[in-house]
Amino acid sequence: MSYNAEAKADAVSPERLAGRYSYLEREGLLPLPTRDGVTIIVELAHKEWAEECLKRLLLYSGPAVRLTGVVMKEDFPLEPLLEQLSAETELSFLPYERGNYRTNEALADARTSFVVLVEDRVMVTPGWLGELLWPAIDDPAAYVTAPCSAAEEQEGRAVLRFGNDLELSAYVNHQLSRFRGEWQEVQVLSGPCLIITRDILQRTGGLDASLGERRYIIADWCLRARQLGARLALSSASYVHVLQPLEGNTGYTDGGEQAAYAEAGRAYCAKWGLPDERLGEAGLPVPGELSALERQPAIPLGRTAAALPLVTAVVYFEDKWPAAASMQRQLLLQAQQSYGNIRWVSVRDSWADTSPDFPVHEQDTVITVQGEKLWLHALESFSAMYQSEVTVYLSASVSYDSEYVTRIVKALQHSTAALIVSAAPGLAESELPSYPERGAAAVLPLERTAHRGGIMPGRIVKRESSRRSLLLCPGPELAVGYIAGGPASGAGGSVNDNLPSDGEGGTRK
Amino acid sequence: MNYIIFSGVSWEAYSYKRLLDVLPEREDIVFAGTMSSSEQAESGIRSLSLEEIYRLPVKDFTVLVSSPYWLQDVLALSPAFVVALLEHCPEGEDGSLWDKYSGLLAAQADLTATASERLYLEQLLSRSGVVYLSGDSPLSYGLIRRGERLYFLADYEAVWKRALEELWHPQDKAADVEPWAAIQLRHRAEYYLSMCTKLPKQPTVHYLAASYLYLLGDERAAQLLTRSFELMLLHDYTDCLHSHYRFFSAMEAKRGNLELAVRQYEITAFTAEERAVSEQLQHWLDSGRRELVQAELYRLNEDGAAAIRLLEGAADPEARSLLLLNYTDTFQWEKALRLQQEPENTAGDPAAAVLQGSGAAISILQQIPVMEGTLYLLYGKRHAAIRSFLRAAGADQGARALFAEMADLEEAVGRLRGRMADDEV
Repeated sequence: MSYNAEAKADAVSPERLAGRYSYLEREGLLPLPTRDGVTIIVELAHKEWAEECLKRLLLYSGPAVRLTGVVMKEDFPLEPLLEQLSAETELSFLPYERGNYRTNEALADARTSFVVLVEDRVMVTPGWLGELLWPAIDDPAAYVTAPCSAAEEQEGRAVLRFGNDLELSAYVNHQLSRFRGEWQEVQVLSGPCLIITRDILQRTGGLDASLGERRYIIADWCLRARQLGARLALSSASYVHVLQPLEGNTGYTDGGEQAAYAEAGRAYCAKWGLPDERLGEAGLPVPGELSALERQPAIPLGRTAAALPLVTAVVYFEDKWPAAASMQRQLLLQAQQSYGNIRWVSVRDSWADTSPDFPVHEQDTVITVQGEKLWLHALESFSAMYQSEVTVYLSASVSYDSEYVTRIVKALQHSTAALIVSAAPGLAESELPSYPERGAAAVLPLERTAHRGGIMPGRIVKRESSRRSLLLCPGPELAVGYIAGGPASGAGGSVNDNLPSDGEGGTRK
Repeated sequence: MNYIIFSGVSWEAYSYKRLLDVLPEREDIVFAGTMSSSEQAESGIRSLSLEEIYRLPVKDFTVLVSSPYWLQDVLALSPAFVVALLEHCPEGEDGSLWDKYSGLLAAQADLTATASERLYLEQLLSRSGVVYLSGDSPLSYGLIRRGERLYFLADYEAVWKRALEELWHPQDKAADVEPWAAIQLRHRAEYYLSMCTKLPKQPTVHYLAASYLYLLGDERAAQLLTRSFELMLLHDYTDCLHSHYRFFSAMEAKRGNLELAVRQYEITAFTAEERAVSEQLQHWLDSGRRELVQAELYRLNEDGAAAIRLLEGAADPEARSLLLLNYTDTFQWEKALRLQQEPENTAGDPAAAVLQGSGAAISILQQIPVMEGTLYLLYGKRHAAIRSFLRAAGADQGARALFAEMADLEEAVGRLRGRMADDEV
C-alpha cells in the first residue's frame, strides 16, 4: 500500500470507525462503559407486559447487568414471572409489602456505578443501554440520563406509533445513526426510564414516595439531585417505547384516580414552592432558581422507618399504678418493640391514674380523661382521632415480645382482615381456646387485638374477672384474623413480677 | 383460538389484515376463498373452499364476517361466536338490501366491529358490544407476541383484542375492571373534547363530544350539545331542531328529568304523528308511567339500545309493546318474534302499537310475518319464508316487493359465492 493510499484511508477512518462501532454495539458485542456492570431496577405494575419487558431487558442489556423486579401493586401476580424466569440467575424480585415503598430498598442494594430505574411498560431494543451511560462519562456532572419516550417531559417527549418491533428497531437504529453521542441538559426528567450514577444516588437519597404519583416522585428526585450540582441529560439518540394502559387516566375521568393525581401534583408544588396553577402548564412546572431554594433533605435509602406503615400503639392501664411504676412500664413497652415507626399514645383516666405526665416524643400523645365511661369511649373512638395504618392496643399489665408489633403489621399486610388477634405467647393460632370460630364476630381480648386504620373497631367493655382486663366487641361487618403468639420463652405473657398486684393497684370502679 | 374469515372481497383486497395479525391466542386461521401459497406462508393463514369449511369442527371457531351476504352460511355453520365487521355499502350493491342485512348480521353477532365512526355510533344506539376499529391516539396500548414478532397495539386494537378474549373468557362481573366498551367510549370522548378546545367554533365536533358523553352517562353532554346548537344557529343552520334540540330530551330523560324532557320533545314535534306521540308521552307522565316515558324518549332519539335495557326489566304491561317496537327497529327480530309468541303478551296488545317516527304508520302485526319470513330465508327455509311473505302481503299486491327482495338477496349471495369460486379458478 502506498503512502497516499494510507493517508486516504486515514481521512475516512472516523466515519468507518463509527460505522464499525455502531455495528458492534448493535450486535451486542461491545462491553458497557462501566467496570462493575449496571443494576436495573424494574418497577412491576403491569402484569400483561412485565414478562416481555423483563425478557427484553435481559436479552438486550448486555451480560454485565443485574435486574431487580420490585412489585409495586398488591394485586400484581408474581408467581407466573417466577415460573417463567426461574432460570435467570441475574434476576431477583422484591415482593409487594403494603405501605413499604420498596424501590428505595432496591436502590440501596444496588452496588454498581450505574443504576437504571425503569417501569415494566418500557420496551427496549438491542444495544439500548450503552448510549445512555456515556453522558456521565462525557461530563462528570451529568449524573442522570434519560432516553426519549412518549412519557418523558417536554424535549424528551417523542410520541410515535410502531406496528411491531421491527419498525421500532429500525427507528431506534436510525436515531442512533443520526444523533449518536448527542445529549442535552434539561431542567427536569420524569419519564419511565432513568439512568443514574450510584454517586449521586447516595448523595440525593431515595425517592420521596409520599408524593404518591411516579411522575412527581421522579421529578422531585431529579430536582433534589440538581440541588446537589447534578446535570440532567436527555439523550437525543436514545428512544424507548412505552406502553400506555388502556384504562389509563388521561385527565378526563372524574374518578378517585384523578383526584389522587391532582393531590400528588399539589403536594409536589407545595414541596417546591410552586403555585398550583402552574400544574395546568404544558410540561411539569419546575422552580426557576433551584439554588435560591432551601435544600431539600435527603430521603434515606433502604428500608427506613418512614417507609414503614405508621402504627399507633395505644397503651392503657386498667389498674391504678404507682407513678414511678407506670412511667417505667410505659418506657419499657416502648423500648421493647423493634418495629421502627410507632406513635405511642397512652389513654389515662385521671381519676384512676396517679402517674404524673411523663416525657414523650414529639409524635407521641397522652390523652387524659376523667371517669371510666369517658376512658372507655376514648379507647373506642381512638382511630377516628388519630390517623395511622394500624392501631395496636397494649395493656400495661401484659408483656409483649419485641416482635409483637412487627408481627401484627405483617399479618395485616398479608390479610384482608380488619382486626387481628394474636394468640398468647407460645400458642399457635389454632390453639386459641376461647375463639374457635374463625372470622365470626366474637369478643376479643383487647390486649392482644389490633385493627386497621380508618375503622371503628367496635365497643370496648370490661371483663369481670380477677384480671379486670378489657374486651373488644367488634362490629359485625369486620373480619377478624387470628395469628400465632410469639415465642413462649422469656416474655411470659402474664403479669410480670414487677407489676402491681390487685391489692397494691386497687381497682377501677 | 381458531377463526374463519368470511370476506366480501379477495384476500388481496381484504382490509383487516393487520387486525388478523393481532388476534389474541391465534391458532388455526382460515380464509374462505383463495390465497396463493406465498400469501398463506406470509400471513400464517390457510385458505379453504366453502365446502371444506363446512367440514371443519366449526364449534371451535369464531367467524369474522365482513359481508352481510354470508349470513345464511354463518347461521348454517353455527360457529362458537360470530363477529360482524360492518362496512358501508360497496359500490354496485343495493344500499337498502345491504343495510338491512348488515343490521340483521349485527343483531345475530356476538360482537360487532366497524372502522366507520358513523356506523359505530349507529350501532351503539342499537346494541351493546360494539368495537370501533379506528382511533386517533398515537400511543401504544398493549402488545401481542406471535413467534419472533412483537406487535404493538393501537388503542382500538387493544380494545379489539380484549373484546375477542372476553368472548371465550367472559369477564367476571364482580371484577372491578372498566369494561372495554366504556374505555373506548371514553377515548372517543377525550378525543372530541380535545378537538373542541382546538376548534371552538366547529359545531360537529361539539355534537360528537356530546354524543359520546351522553353514551357514557356524563352530565357534561348537555353543555356540549348546547354549544353545538348555538354554533349551528350562529352558522345559520336553522334546521337543527330535530337533529340537535331533540337530543336534549334524551339527555334529560337519562338524568330522570322527564317533565323537562317531554317539554323538549314537544318543541320538536311538528307533524301530526309527532304531536300524537307528544300527547301520549304527556299522558303517560300524568299517570305516573315514567319508565314508558323514559324508554319512548330514548326510542324517539333512536337510542333503541337504552330503551331495550330499560324495558327488558320494566314491570308495566305496556312495556312489552314498546320492547317489541325497539327489537324491530334494531333488527333483533328473533327476540321480537319470541316476545310476540309469549302468552303473557296478551296483556299489552302489540297490534295497537304503532311504529312511529319513520313517517308511515305500519302495524306491528303486518311487520311480524315479514320478520318471520326473512328469518326463515336466512335459516335456509325458503318455502316457509314464501308462506310468511304471502301471509304478510294479505290480499293486496305487497308480496311482489317481498319476493323481489328475496330474489335480490339470492342474487347478491350468488355473486359473492361466484366471486369466491372465480378466485379458486
